[in-house]
Amino acid sequence: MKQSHTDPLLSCTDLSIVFNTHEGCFSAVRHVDFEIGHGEIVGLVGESGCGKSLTALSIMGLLPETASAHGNAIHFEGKDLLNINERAYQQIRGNRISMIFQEPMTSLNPVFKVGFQVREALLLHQKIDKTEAQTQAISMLKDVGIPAPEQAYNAYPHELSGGMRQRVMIAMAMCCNPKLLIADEPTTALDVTIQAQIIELIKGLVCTRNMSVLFITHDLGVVAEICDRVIVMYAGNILEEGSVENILEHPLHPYTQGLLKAIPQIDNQLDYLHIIPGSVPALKDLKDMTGCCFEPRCTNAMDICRQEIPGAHTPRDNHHVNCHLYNR
Amino acid sequence: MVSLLSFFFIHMIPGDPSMALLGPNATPNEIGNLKLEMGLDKPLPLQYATWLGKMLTGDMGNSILSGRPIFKSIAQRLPHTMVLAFLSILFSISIAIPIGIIAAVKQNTIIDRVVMFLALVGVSVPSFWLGILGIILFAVTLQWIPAAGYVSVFENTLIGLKYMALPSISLGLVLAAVSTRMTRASMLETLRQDYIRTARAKGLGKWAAILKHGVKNALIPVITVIGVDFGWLLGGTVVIETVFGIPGMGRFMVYGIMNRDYPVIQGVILYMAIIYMLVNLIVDIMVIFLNPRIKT
Amino acid sequence: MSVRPKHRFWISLGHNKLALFGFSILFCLVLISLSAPFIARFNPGELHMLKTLQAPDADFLMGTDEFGRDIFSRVIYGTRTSLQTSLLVVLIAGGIGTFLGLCSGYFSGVTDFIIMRIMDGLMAFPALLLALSIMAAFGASQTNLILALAIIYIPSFTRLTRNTTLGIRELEFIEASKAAGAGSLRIMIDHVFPNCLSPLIINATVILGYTILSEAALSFLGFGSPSQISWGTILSDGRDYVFNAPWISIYPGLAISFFVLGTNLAGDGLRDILDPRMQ
Repeated sequence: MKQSHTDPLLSCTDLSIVFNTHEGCFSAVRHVDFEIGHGEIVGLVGESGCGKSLTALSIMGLLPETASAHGNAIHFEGKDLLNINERAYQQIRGNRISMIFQEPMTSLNPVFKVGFQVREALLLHQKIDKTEAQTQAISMLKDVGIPAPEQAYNAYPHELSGGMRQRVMIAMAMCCNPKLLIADEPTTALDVTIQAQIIELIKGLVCTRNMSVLFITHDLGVVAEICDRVIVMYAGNILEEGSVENILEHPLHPYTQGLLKAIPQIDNQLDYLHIIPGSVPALKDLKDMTGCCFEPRCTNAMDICRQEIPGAHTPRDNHHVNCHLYNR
Repeated sequence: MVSLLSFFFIHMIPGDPSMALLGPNATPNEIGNLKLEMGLDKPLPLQYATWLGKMLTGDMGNSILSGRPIFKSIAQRLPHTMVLAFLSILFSISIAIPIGIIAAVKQNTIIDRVVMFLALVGVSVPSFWLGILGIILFAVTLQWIPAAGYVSVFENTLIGLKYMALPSISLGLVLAAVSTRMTRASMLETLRQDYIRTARAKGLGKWAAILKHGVKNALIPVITVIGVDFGWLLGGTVVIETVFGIPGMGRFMVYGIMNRDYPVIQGVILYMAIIYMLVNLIVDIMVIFLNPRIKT
Repeated sequence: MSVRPKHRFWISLGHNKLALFGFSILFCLVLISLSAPFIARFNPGELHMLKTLQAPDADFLMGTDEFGRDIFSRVIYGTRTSLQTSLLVVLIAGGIGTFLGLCSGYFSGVTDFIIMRIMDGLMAFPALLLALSIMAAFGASQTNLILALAIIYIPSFTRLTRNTTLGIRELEFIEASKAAGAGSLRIMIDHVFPNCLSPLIINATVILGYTILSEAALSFLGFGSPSQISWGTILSDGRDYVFNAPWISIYPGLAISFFVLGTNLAGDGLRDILDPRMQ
């Protein structure tokens, strides 16, 4: 059962991520606020390039060299992640906050055995010896549903299938019992059947370990299956955010509505798929925008949308939206 | 398989023309006698087979000029050449690998650009000229190293190393330049890989992740290239030995060529080819050892 | 504003400073070799028996050798020979290699197999040793040197052309076979070959430099013909006088290094410019 505390596990206030290039500075993520509660699975949804991965990387402190994070704070377990040094961060990564990535094919080092890599995570953060770490690693491999854990421990990544490799990644991420797991599109590169298995696995782990998950995806179907809450991002801004029921059944922002309409329903007979006209603006064009970033593609756009960035409105409990349509 | 094929193919080259051309000044009688002696009157495949048979049993015939058995001479000289080659490789990888890695990690900074430029210069310079410059600088002007003479490392290791220092550095610097570029390129490719990011996400520091996870992957192509360049190295030993007066195989071959001593030439080339094959075999084994994907 | 591809080439070349530097080195060397009689003060073979083994001074900018010949003049004239030699080698190796590569890549099958096995055999052998054995077998002359070096560099061109051809073949083949039906093979070669030009030119530039290094090594060992004045032969002359007349060895080596640096820089620059534009 989920335990809820009054304080959130992770609280991110006014986060912006800027790219420093020789052509100038470009904001990829702008003034983003969100929270993740204990034992909660929060979905972060958006098109490619909307800044979801960057947000995740900034929580881990693993932004690329050309990017930097600014803002008020990212509070986690009593620390402000924006203000700690690299040493402190190394103690958090893989230990208190873990991350798994989209491509299990390439995320494991091909020249090291799988067990070695899982054991490495344990040895980094816990004062145990190699044999003890090996035992725990094998046990972890079993927990993530790998059929013959001892054999898998001694296998090389290329000897395992994609689904197996993603399970190994999850084992690696979980072995130190983190409070927060960030999963960056973990199922996108997998077959649909394997997808379902991985999602079940993560759900199970959340229950047994009272862990929170930030689940990044562009697939609303997956969101419906696993998430408690959803955050909708576009071009570096949060447009709408709330519980899964609220967002999926009563979407307020035109973008969210467009996303939902675009999902082809198996029982509908459509001549054309619904699309949102236009395309995501480039970073350079975003810089010049003064109003809502979605305005160019919005069918409900008003004059004020071009002039002012919309603030947050809370039409009902556990449902916030940034849109001038609700500014009444 | 392919290497064996080419091995045999190459043997045809020194075998046939060398035997065919006895020099423009030989009289017909001499030619006739020599031909008989060398068995040139017998059909070609038989010649080749006999010659190969002799080679395999270690009988390389005698030097035309000195009359001494070639096998012995080569055996005497082989260690010196090998020491030179070995020291050159040692020198070059001890420079190239660290610098290549650093240049890759600090890509596009001043360090990277300087390293790349120096590497480019290193590739452009003739190694024997470097040797000569080295002699001029260190032996003549600074008098740090004795100018002439040679002491084998097997007789007296420390002094021998002193004599070998300049030759190996001259040969090694050019190899280092090539290896640095290769290391940097390979490292750049490795750094882009996802597993480096995974290592950081586990909690490894930047350099720890790079060194522990990246280097092993990056070194695979580098080692392969060094194996291939060993051929160049062997050629280089010929020249360097001449410059520094080292009694190795290279100089022996030059002596053989100068004096039209064909058995000598054949013998040295055969041995160098064998060594080259061996080195590449070792490199292949090392790569298999490093890269588990090939094992299975 | 539409810029024609040719203009774009020169513009990007201008931006790449190092490449520009490389090309200017090459350009200068070509100029020097063409205007040698005007730059060199003395005839390169001219003897000054009273001033043998002299250190560089006002008259003899790079000193004199054991016959009293002006090193400076010899280096200047040597530019001609060295450039000539390397150009010839590249042309021969490039010509034969490209032809073989085209055949190999285009016809595939048995042709490809045979050609590539031969190339593998050649490439497996250490370059200098191969050249030495060829020269040993056929005698040491400038012509033989050029031919020997050409043989060494043929595989490089063959492989390059073959691989490019293999890639092109898939693209254009369909169009061409439709358009011409039973179009002559010559036309095919005329289609395929222009696409190989870019990597070929880059390769040729770089090999130009390596040729000089090999030529220098061979001449140094004593295989160039003594009548020809090339940088390598000057170095060979200086071998015995390293201690009392180091200048004989220093300057030609410097010339070689600059030349090869020039070809490498130019080659790198060409690679940056030409490669991204290839489809």
